[in-house]
Amino acid sequence: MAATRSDELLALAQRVAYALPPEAIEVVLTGSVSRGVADDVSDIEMLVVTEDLLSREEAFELARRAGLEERDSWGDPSTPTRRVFGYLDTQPVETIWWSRELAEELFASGGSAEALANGVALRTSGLLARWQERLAEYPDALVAERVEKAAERWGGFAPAGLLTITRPDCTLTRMEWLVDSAQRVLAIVFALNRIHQPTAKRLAARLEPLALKPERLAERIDEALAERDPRGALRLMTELQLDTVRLAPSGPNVDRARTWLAEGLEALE
Amino acid sequence: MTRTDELRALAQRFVLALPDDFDEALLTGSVSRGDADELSDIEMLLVARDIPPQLSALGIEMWQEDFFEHGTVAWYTALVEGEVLEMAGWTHARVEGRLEGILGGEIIDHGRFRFAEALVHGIPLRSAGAIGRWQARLAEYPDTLVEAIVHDASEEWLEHPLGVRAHLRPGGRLALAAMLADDLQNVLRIVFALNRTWEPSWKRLPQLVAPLAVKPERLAERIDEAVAETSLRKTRELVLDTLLLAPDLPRVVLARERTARLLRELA
Repeated sequence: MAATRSDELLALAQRVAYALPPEAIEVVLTGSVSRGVADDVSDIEMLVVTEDLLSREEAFELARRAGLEERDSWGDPSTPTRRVFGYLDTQPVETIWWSRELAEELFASGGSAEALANGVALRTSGLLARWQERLAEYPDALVAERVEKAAERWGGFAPAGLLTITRPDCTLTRMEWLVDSAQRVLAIVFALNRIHQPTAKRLAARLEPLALKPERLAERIDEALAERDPRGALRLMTELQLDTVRLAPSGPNVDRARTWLAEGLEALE
Repeated sequence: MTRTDELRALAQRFVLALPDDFDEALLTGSVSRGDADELSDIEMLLVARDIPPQLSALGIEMWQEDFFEHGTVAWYTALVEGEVLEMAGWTHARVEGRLEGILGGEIIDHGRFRFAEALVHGIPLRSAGAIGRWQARLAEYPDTLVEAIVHDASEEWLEHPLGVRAHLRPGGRLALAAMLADDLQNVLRIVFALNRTWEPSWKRLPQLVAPLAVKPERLAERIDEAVAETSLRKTRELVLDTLLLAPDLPRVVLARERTARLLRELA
């Protein structure tokens, strides 16, 4: 059987990991390759943890020794996270470098939860296993907390206020509202399924395995975003929000949102 | 009598009936700007001497009232004569804290920063003098804020072109729309900063950007086109034109290079 794209990229990532010096105490493969779903625009994404914080130049040098060519950086150079981008056998590789202290700090603040939960250790000192153990716990209280937070904005002002963003000269505000609402719908759906929320890239594939979700969720988000009639777009999204809170456990914000969204839908008819 | 006049008169009557817990009441939004239409509601900031009271308990009919942050922040909604009144109830300390944060460059996110625009263009309906003092502090847009906002707004444009292009995968409309909405908002934040003008909410954009002297050509039209087509190319072309108007901060220089490279790759 021919090797898949993920297998090919995994083999390359392993070559990078072997070539890193002992300063790299933890090397974690993340992104689509770690999930086995790489396609032809996927790159290799890796997290490298070192005992001490490296300078940008040190990170570049270690990446060079691991075989990365045409090295470049991206992102904000003023943060302690080092980012080195390069190519190995013409395949793009993104490496993110954290010190152990920074890694623990970012993990504690909830950063990169989804990437780490699906990460694959290519070299380990036990950090990833410990993080994944912690991430595997998704208690009811966390579900309720995330759902309530996501539903917080769906209420509080008169639902007829939604009509103000159907004006023809409010295109950007309407787009922001649609995006924000869709992201809140997803926050609720992922929390209900006890899964750490991933990025919105390749959403349909991410939603496919989830047991609890409104019907045709991914398609309906796309339809609402593509709808050119302002009222129509708001209506599609409000229906989706309403279907979502109806799946959620009762709580002050969820209960309020159920009534509020139903009234909003009436105002939009 | 125009719609604006009607709503102003209604707001004034409502404020007259408010308890003297509130010593400052400011009309904001489209009714204060004078361009209210059929969809406009009445927006106000009410500032309490102590903490914002429960208005329903004082016999004022409320559609809803919510209290946050241990009762120091209120959100009131009233329906009067078929019109909607949306009112924030704040303390003096909160207004002062927000102003200091904004003027000192610590609060620059759009959601909180736009308080300055609402305050500076608001019309006082009741005041013991504080509103005038607050407005005077905002009369001059501090030079230091221009660079702080330009720096902050440019962050996302440092991303590697490959990472940006990953948003173009089929079936990922939300990922792309979210990125473009952020991009366009950051374009506007930079344009308002370059004009040393407090940034408003982005509703009714064409008339908001019309008076600005420094801006990319056809700014409002191009935002509409980029939104309607969910176009990464059109959005980032506008980003590049905006960055070319901005001061040469290190991050701006890098963001220009990255954006130009992305546009070459998209061509």
